[in-house]
Amino acid sequence: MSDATSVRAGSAHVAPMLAAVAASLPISLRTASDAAAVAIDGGGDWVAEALAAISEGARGVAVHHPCALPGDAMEQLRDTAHARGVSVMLRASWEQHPSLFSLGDALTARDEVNLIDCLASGNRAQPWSPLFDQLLFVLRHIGPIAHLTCDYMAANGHIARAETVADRAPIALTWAADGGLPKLDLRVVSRASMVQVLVEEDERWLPLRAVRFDERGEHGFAPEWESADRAIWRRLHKAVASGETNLDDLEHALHARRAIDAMRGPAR
Amino acid sequence: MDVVAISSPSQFHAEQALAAIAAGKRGILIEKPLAVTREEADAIADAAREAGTAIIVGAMHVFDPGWRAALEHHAEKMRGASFIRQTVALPPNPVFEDRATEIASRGGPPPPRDYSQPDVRAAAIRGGILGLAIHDLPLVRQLVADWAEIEVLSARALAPFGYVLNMRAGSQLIQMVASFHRHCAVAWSLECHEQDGVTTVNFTPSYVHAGSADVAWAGPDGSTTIRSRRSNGYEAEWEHIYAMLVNNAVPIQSIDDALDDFSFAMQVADGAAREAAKDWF
Repeated sequence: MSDATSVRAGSAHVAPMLAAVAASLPISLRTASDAAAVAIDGGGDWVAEALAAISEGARGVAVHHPCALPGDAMEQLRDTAHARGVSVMLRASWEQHPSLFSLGDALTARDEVNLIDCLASGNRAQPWSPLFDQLLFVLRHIGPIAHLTCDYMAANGHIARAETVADRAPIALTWAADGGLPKLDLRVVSRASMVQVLVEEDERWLPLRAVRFDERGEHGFAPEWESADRAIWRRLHKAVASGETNLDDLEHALHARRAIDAMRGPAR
Repeated sequence: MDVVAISSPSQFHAEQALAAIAAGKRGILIEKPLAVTREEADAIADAAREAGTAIIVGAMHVFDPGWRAALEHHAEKMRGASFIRQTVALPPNPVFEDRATEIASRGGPPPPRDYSQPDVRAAAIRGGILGLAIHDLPLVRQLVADWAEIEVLSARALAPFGYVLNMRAGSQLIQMVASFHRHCAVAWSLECHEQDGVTTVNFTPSYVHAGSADVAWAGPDGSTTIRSRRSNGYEAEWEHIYAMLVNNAVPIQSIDDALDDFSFAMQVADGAAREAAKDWF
C-alpha cells in the first residue's frame, strides 16, 4: 500500500485533470508512460480504450464521464477485467462525490418512502447522458430499480420514473435542461423524515449539501472538502496497490444500460 | 358592506357569488377554485361583468409581491422556460393554521385512503390539484404559451397527501411535485429552467404572515436575488381589492383571466385524475 501507483492519461482530454490529481496526491500517485493505471475519457468508445489499456498491461482503469455504451460492450470489458484482475472505476457526474460516502445509511435506512425525487438540471451535450448519470447515482446510493418508464425525452429535458426493487418506492427521474452547470437535487421523502442531497459541480473541491429533516428538526451532514476526481483516484490506487479487483461501478453501469434498453415509453 | 369573501366549499361558490352580485356588492373574493363547472364559472363571470363587480379568485400566489416582482424583472426569461417545476414539501396545514389563528374545533383525521383503488387515486389527485396545485397553476399558465394544449403525461397520488404530476404543453415541460408529511421540511418553490439559467420563486407557507416569496435567478456567471417583501399573497389580495374599488386600479387578474385559470386547472385536474387512475407502471 505504500508504493505509489503509476498513472497515465489515455487522452489529452483527461490529461490536465490527471496531472492535477497526481500532483495533489504525491504519495499515492506518480505519472509514468508505462503506467499501472490509466485515465480514459468516457465521451467516446471508452470500452475499446479500456480493453486496449488492459491488453497493454494496465491493472486499473478510471473512465471519466462515461457515456452509456451498449451493454454487450460493457459486459465484455467486465469479463476481461475480471479475468485479468483489473479494477475499472467510472467517474460519472454526481455519484462519486466523496461526501456521499460519508452519509452512512442516510439514504438507504428509511421509513416508509413516499417518493424518491431525483431532479437533475444543467446543460448537457448528449441527451442520454443525464439519465444514465442519474441511474448510476440511484443504483449506487439508493439501490436496484425496476420498471424504468419514460414519459418524455428531448433536448429540453426528460421525465422518467421507476421504482425501487427493495420496497417499491416510486422514483421520479427528471432532467430540466438549462444554462447552468450540472446539478442533482435528490430528495428521499418519507412520512416522518426527508433526506435531501444537493450535488453541484463536483470537479472543484466543494462539499455537497446534505440534510436530514425529521420531526425534531434538521441535521446537516458534515461538509467534505474534496473533489470527485481525487476521490476516485484514491479508490483506484487502493485497489491497484492491494491487488483488489473492483468492478462495482461497471456493474452499476451495466444495470443502468439494461434499464435504459428495457425502458418503456413513447420517447425511447 | 362592499366586499364579500366566499370561502365555503367549492360547490357553494357559484350560488353565493351570484347572490352577492345580485345584492349589489362591489367586490367578491372567491376562494379557489372559482366554481365547480365551467357553466357555473361562466355564470359568475357574466353576472359580474354586467354588474361591474370586481372578482378576485383567491389563489394567493397570483398576488404575491414576490411573484409580481419576478414577472417585473424576469418575465421574458420565465416565459422562455423549457421546463417549469413546482416543488412543495410541507407539514400538515394545522401546523400553520394554529399559528395564524385560533381554531375552535377540528374534525378527526381523515380515514386512510386505499390507494390500490383507481377511483380513490383519481379523487385524491383531483383534490390535490384543486386544493394545492391550483395556487401555482395560474402562474404556470402565464408562462406556458400553449396552455390550452396541456397534456398530462403521467400522474401519481402520494400518500398521505401529495402528487407527482408530469405534463407538457407544446415544447414546454411542466412537473409538479408535492408532499405533506410529519417532518419539519418546508419548501414551496416554482422553478423556471431556461437556456440562460434558472429563475426560482420561493414562497412562504400558507396561512402564516411570513412575507412574500423571494426570487433568485442563477446563470453560469452569477446570480441575483430579489428579497422577500413584507406582504404575502393574502394581504396583497385585499390590498388589491381595495385598490381596484377605491383607486380604479387595473385588475391583476381580469375576469377573463379567472375563467382561463379555471379552465386550465380543470384540464389539469381531469387529465391527472385519468392518469392517476392507471397503474403507475
